[in-house]
This record gives sequence, structure tokens and C-alpha cells, in this order.
Amino acid sequence: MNKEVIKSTVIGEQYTRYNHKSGLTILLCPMQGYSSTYALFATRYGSIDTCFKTQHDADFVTVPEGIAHFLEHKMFEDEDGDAFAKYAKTGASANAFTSFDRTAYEFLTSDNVYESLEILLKMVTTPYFTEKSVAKEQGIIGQEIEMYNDDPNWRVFFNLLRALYVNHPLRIDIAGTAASIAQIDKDLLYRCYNTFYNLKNMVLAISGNFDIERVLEVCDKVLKPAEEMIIDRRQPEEPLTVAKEYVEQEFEVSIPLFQFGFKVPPYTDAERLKLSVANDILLEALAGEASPLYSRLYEQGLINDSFSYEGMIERECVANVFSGESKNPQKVCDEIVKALEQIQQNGIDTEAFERAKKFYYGRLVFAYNNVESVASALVTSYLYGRNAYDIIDMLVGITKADVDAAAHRNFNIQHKALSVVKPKT
Amino acid sequence: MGNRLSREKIAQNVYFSSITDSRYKTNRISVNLMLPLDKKTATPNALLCSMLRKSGAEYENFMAISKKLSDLYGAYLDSDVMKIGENQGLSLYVTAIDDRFALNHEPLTTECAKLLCSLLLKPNIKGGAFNEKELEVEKQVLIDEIESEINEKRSYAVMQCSKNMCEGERFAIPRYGYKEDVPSITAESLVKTYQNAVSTALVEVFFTGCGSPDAAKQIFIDAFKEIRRGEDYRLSTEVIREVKQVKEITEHLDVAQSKLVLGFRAGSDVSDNDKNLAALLMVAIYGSTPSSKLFLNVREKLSLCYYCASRYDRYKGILMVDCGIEAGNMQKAKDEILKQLQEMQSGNITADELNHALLAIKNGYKAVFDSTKSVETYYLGQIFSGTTYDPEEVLAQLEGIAIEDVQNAAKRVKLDTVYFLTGENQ
Repeated sequence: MNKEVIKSTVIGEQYTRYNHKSGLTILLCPMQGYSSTYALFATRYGSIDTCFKTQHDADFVTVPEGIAHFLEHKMFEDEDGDAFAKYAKTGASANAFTSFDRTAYEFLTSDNVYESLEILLKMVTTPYFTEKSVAKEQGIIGQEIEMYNDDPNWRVFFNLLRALYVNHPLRIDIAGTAASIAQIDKDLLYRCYNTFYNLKNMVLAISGNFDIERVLEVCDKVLKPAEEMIIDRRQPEEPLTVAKEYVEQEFEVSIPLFQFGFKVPPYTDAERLKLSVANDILLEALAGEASPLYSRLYEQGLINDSFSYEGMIERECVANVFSGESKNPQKVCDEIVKALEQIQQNGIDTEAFERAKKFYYGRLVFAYNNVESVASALVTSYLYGRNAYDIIDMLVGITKADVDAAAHRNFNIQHKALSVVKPKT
Repeated sequence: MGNRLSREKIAQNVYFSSITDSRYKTNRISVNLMLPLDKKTATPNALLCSMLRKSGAEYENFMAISKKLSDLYGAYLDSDVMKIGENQGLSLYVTAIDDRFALNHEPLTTECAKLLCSLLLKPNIKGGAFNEKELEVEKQVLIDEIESEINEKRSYAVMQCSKNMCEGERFAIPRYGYKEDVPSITAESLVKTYQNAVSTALVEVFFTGCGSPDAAKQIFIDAFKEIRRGEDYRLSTEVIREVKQVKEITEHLDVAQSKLVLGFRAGSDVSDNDKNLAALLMVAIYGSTPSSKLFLNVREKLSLCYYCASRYDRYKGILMVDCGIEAGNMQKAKDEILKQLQEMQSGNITADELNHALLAIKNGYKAVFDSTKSVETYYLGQIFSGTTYDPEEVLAQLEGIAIEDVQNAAKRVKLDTVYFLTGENQ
């Protein structure tokens, strides 16, 4: 088996990448002194993959909204029972999640690592769907959707995405709707499964307390070689402009919640790393707690501790989002735009740049302090075609000019939208 | 495994505890002021906690603190108000990467200890008053915080249930206090709140990390020498075990999904270690894991909900079960939740169920040392319970618990309050 050791000279860490004979990429990071082990098994398939075909299909298929998430739920059931019942015997705490661009299955355990791993690998590589079990899941997920419908933070976020994006499936709810999941049947689930749950489209990362050889033995035992699969995903044409500049919804909340986003031109794989590091430094310098903007907003009572920023990067989409609670969201946006324009005209303040860079470096080191965040970082970096430590190397070398360039490229004042969830009148 | 807890008295009713372990890349220091949860002081205490986080005599405003934190490589500093039984905890904590990762060899850990100590013991008080302008902002922030509890419907429903259930008990006092009490707090009155807190609270300083705690300890020892300490405060909570009449409460809000919360008196609490541990296992079998009775029956078998879970407050000795359901399924869900409790009371608990619950709890306990935060949470929990067991010791005790003990723990559980949050037209 072909393998490569990946090292960070800056923080003195390392992990190993294996190209397993089954076609699966395996990333292993044993961590000295830790008691727990975290495994994350992910496929490059999320809620935005709604239209696709493989080399075996004549035509593209458009699947119901929420099917990737539905499939995630159904993977826990096999002919010989429920995976939770199997995990109960090892003590591992198991879960799964579906996001826009991936579906991932995880467990965290302090004992019985290899038994738990076997359960995980078998569960994800063995589809088993029946009409009856699909019907049962429609009731459970129906309640999950209702739960999100009552969640103002979730609503303000999806309303923003619907304002920012005109056609892209980021507009759709990850879990779908009651109507869309009613269209799901076992045949559609098998089609999605057979397309995306191909080991060549997947990655397994394990961090913490384990023995590499024993992990590989379990992989050898369970994983069968995957056939070549050429997945063709079709996304609608997405303009750089936004769908709507403002969107609001009334809700049972005490104070308005807002999310204010800038639509960013998509990154190519080659430019993604540098641009995203420069973008994050810029966001911290612009709107972090040490920034003049933050102080101004806070002292005027326009924001509270819930204020935050995020550089959101999905497979084909990037957005810069500011969120929080405010009695006057529009005023907050105006202040952000003012501060941005100042940076665009004069460049970022040198002291603020250095401070934000230091801040960001520390936060990256934090991520390597925790078993779960290590495997997550390995998976994310792999899905974006890089090594987990590239980001630290990039950070050390980033310049003020890189950040100034990002300020122009990633903040087009014309391409912004504000989403507000406000108290019922 | 990590080192054993070291806990030392460094001033009257002030303790410094530490756990060090080479696996970490960070160091965390927290200072926790434990005070009685009281109607009169809960609100000013909560406000004080955020004021201490926002400025100090040595840091004129929030930006000065934030700049310092960025210079400490993005160290996290925050404050938190805790409710431990009927005690209110004001907590300030800081976490930073270890000195060995500092690109210019800065002494980050010492700097963090100094910062934390300075914010707590050298507050921004001038002429007998806190900063007026800052206070006005924080008062509004606190009001917003209290009012925004309604935004998250799941936690709101659980809070409403416990408030109604414990009406007339100190436990019903919310951890941030009351919004009605905020306006009357002044820059001068808050100074009295501050003086009372630093002189009377039980103070627990906690260090966890890979570096040495010695410098941090000395900084706190020196600082507390200057503080006049009053009478010792000891944690206390009134635990109620009997129920005269079950309360039924329905609240209407504009919600898509209804929330049902059942509040029980657990009949166990930290004052009796054996009963407490049996209750811990009982609650796990009942509804804390995906192989629990509530998950398998209310969710998987009846398909009524996405979540249905039980949680146990070992300090107050109460148990809550909550689920999100369609309004029309309320009775069905309630019946099934109570039926599963009766099953355990009548001894319908298998060896597998007991073993699986034990494994799930073990999994968590064995990982306690994997993060500085979880070590701190675990040992502070021990200290607040009046014990100092290591996780391995607790595990050994849990292993001695039999099905019969779990059944008895279930028998001690008594339904107190049924709370239902539902749509306006239901």
C-alpha cells in the first residue's frame, strides 16, 4: 500500500496518508498520551448534489431535496439490526452529519476502537433500505425539519443563502421539506448510495489513541475494492449578483437576529488556500473583538456578545457572513460597509494585520489540541485537495499585500444581502 | 492517565487546584466565585460577571483586553454565570497555546494568569463607581440575554418546566437573574456587589495544561493577600423528594413543533454517593443514549420525535425528559415516557442495558483527561459535590452497581410537573 508521511515543521506534528487497495484514502494521526479515539468517515456528497449521473447512466437524475441527509439516517440500519445497538456493545458514542458538500459518520471512544471501527466501516459500506424503514424515517425526519423550522438561527441563515444565491442548491434546506422527503423511496436511496458511497469518493480519518497496524487490518478485512466511478455533478449557472438585497421573516424572538453576507467569486483549487487564509486574517482585523469596528458597534449598543463573522467556503461557493443580534441590523451593515471601504481605500492597518495574523496562528494550534478537531481538519483539508498543515505554512508567509488583495476581491459592495428575523409585531 | 488533582488552600476559603499533563498544547486557567443563588443578588452578580470581562484598572476598555488577547496568540478569555444547584457561580477563564508554540518565545501562561488576576482583583472602579457608560451598555446586554432565552425553544421549554416545578424554591431563580431588577443597578451599587463577591465567595482557581502551574499559583497567592476575606461560604441546596400533586402547565407560542417536558424529583442527589451513581446509570438506561429506552421506543418504535432525552441534575436531585413532537401526539408521547419509567420501576432492566449504559458512561469518563476543559468541569464537579474521586475511582464504583440498585433508583423517581409548549391554535 502506498503511503506518505505528512509533517509540520512549524508545530512539530505529523500524520500518515494511505492509499488503501480498496480505493479509499485513509488519514491516520495517532496522538501521544490521549485516551480517546475519533474516527470520521466521509463522502463527498451533500445537500447541494441534487443533479448527477455516472458513466453507467444515460441521463442526469434530479433527486428530492434532503435526500443526502435522509440517506445518512438510513445508513444506520442494516439487515442484522441498528448500528446504535452495535455501538452500544463497544461503548462508542456515534453520530453522523450532512452538510452542503459532505456526509460524515463518526464515533468517539476510549475502548474497543477496532470493534467500533468495524461497525463504522460495515455500516457505511452496507446499504439496506426497505419501504417500511423509509416510511418510519419520514416521521422522525419530519420532526427534525419542524425543529429547524422553529430555530431562528437556522432560519436567518437559510434566508440569507436564498438572498445571496439565485440558482445554486445552497438555497435548499439540508434536511429538505416535508413534501420533498415524501418523494423519497428506496430505489432513489440506492441510486444515490451507489453513486456517491464509492470508496474512491470517500475518506477515512482517525485521530487519538490507536495502533496503525490494527486499524489497517480492520480496513483490509472490511473494505472491498471499489469500481471506477466517474461522477458528473450538474450545478445550475450561478451569477455573481445576488437574488435579493434584503429578506426578513417574523418569528417568536425577543430581539432581531441578522446575517449579513457578501457573495464572493468562487475560488479555483489553486487559489483557494491563499485566498482563504488572507480572507480570514482580513475578517479578524476588520470585525474581530480587537477591531475599532467591533468596539464602535458594541459601545453604541448595536451588537452584543453573539456578534461573529465567518468566511464560509463550500465546494463551489464562498461567502463572508457577519451575524448577531441587533435592534438595528441595517445600521450594523452600514458600519461594516464603511469600515470595509476604508480598508479598500487605504489598505489594512499594519498593526491590525500583525495582530490578526498572530491571533489566527494561535487558533490553528488550538485545533491540534483536540482529538476530534484533528480528524476533522484532516478530512476538510483532504476534500479541498491539500495537506492539513499547508494552512499553517501559508499563514506564516502571508503578507499585508495578500490581505489587501482579498479585501478587494472578496467584498464587492454590490453583491451583498441582509437577512433579518425579527420579533412578531 | 493524567496526574492526580492537587488542591491547595491559598487564602481563606480560596483554593488553587491544578492538573498538568504533557498531552496538551494549551494551558487553561479559570477562577470561579461561588455564591448563594439569591433573588436579591442574582441579577447584580450576573451583571458584575460581564463587567469584569469588559475592562479593568489596567485595561481601560474591551479593545485593550482584546488586543492583549490577540498578542497572546488568540487566547480565549470569557466569563460565564453558572447555576450549581442553588448556588450561583461567576466564572472567568482564559486559555492560550503553550509557551513552546509562541513564535517569539513570549511567556504566554504567566501573562494569562496576570491578566485573569488583574481583571478579577483590579476592577475598573474609580471614585467608588464602575464606569457609567460601560455599565449602561452591559445592562442592556444582560436584558437582551435574559429576553432572548425564548429564541431557543428546546432550552426555553426545559427552563420553563424547571421554573414551574421549583416555584418557591431558590432553584427557580434564573442564573442571570431578572430583567426587572436590571434598571435599578447603579455604578455605585455594583461596587458593593463586587466587594461582597470577592470577600465572601468560595473561590476555586483551576489550572489545567501542559505547563507548570507554579507561576500562576504565586500570582494568585500574592493577589489574594491584599483582599480582606469575610465569612466562609459553603455550597448548599435544598433537595425535595416528595410530590403532593402533579402540576400540568400548557404555554402557547407561535411554534411549528410542540415541546413536551416532564419534570421529576429524582430522589437522589450528590449528598448520597451510592444513590447518586445508581441514578446516573438509571438515567442513562432511561434516555441518555441512542440505545436507551426512550430513544428506542418514543423515537424508533413509535416514530413520534427526532429527540427524546433524559437529563439528571445531581445537585438539585431532579430529572427532566424532553421531546419535540406534533401537537396531536402529546398524550401518546407522555404515556410512552411514563410507561418506560414504570418498566424500570418494575425491574424490567436487562443485563445488556445496564452494561451498555455503563460502557457509554465509561467512554466519557475515560476521555476526561483529553481536554483541559473537560478535566476542569469534571474536578470542579467533584469539588462542588464534596468529593475528590478520580474518574477511575468513580468508574470502579459504578461497576459495583446492580440491576436492583438501578430499579430502586427508578422507584425513587416521582413525576412533579408536565409542561407543554404548543402552537397558538392548539
